[in-house]
Amino acid sequence: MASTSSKKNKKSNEVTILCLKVKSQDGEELVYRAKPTTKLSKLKNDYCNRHSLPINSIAFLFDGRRIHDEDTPESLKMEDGDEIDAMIHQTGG
Amino acid sequence: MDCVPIAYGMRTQRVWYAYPLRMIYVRPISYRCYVSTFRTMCDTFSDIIPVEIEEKLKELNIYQFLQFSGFEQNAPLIYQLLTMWNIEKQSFIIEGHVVPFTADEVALLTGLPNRGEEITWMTLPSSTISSKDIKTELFELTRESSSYTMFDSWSTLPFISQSILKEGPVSFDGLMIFGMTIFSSGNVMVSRRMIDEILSESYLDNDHVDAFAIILNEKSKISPDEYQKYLYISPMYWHYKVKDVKSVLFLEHIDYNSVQSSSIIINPIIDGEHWTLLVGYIKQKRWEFYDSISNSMHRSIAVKIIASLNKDYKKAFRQNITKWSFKTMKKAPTQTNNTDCGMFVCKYMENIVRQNNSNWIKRTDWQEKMPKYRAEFAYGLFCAAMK
Repeated sequence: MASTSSKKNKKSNEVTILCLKVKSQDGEELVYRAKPTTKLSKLKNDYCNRHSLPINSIAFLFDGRRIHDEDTPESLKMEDGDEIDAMIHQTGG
Repeated sequence: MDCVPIAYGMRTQRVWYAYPLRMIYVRPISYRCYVSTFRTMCDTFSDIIPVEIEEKLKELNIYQFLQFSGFEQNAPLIYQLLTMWNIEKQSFIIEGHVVPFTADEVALLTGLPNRGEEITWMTLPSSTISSKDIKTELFELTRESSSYTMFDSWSTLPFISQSILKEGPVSFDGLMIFGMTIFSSGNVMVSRRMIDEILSESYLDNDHVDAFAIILNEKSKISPDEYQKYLYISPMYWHYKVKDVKSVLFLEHIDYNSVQSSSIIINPIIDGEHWTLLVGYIKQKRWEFYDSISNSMHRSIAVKIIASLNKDYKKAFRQNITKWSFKTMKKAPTQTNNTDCGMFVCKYMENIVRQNNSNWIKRTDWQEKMPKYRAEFAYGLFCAAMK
């Protein structure tokens, strides 16, 4: 019995879901709910799809640092309500 | 299909074709120019590669690309064919008939030799050639021919061989996936798609230019006597600043000591889809502005950036850098097309920080050599990725 209850506790801890705000350059905000272990590349791909942009044409920044594909909210120590900046690549010719 | 392009969009690359009865808007095919640029690239490669390396390359499956014969492209025809392609059946559906597309057809269309073993999903190179083999092979190539380093253009090579020497996990698996990240360092990420952009006549974006700066930095570390000491400020400094994102990251390497020990500050600028370069000479207290399309409108942004740098880094410079003299360099090599300014800025940077390299500014052959420079850049990135 003890073992099952501890398992349950563990499970309830894991289910914490973070709300992450993705802010685009023109101030538009999109809120994502993500598990701490979700790869942030998933968010990025969804964001690109929503805005019909090619994947990887946008850089996600957290605290001014680039978010890499394998990063998760956990690995970046993100907290509920944190903001991510979406930067479109600047191209020129 | 008789049609003539009647109008070219200068920047958008859209082409309108006039048909006898109606106007059809042909959607730009993004790969349209890849073939011709690819060929230019291959021709350039085959020109500069020494004979002994060519002999070695003959053993590899990709050798035939070095002798890519010319063929005309017909954009509307290609577009029509694309609409007939059926992904499930891997064949064209023409008037209800299934027309499979085999290697023979490709050979006929492209004029490439149709020889060698067939590559299918079952016999992908990764199962036969390991990444280590490729690594040793490349290293052999660079080491065996000393004439290689004689080429000024292959200045990347010392860096390449050193990076190959360093043992580490190397994996080519998945390099061909489009969105796959090939090279990443700090805030800079280069994906497979971006390599294609370098190799075609596309615009370069901020990650390209930052990546070039990283490679330049590596090169200057390997042979410090050939390069002057410089400070690099990313083009994104200004953009993060404008968008109110933390921009400290780009400037944390600038302090009083680093300013005192360097002689040059380089800052590529991207503004309104155009790349320019701002160079500061610390000892001479002078700013120089390089613009591959001479237009006095472009430089207004540089003044704003200098003012912003002055505000952010008063402590590091300990002088008012807005008071330095400002000069637009009118004699620098300029571009004649609409797409190469990013690469021009990269080459400006490289030449400015090189020692004993004062006469580069008089060169007029940059535009025709651009495919070569682009190829070198892509090659350098691949080699940096193998590290």
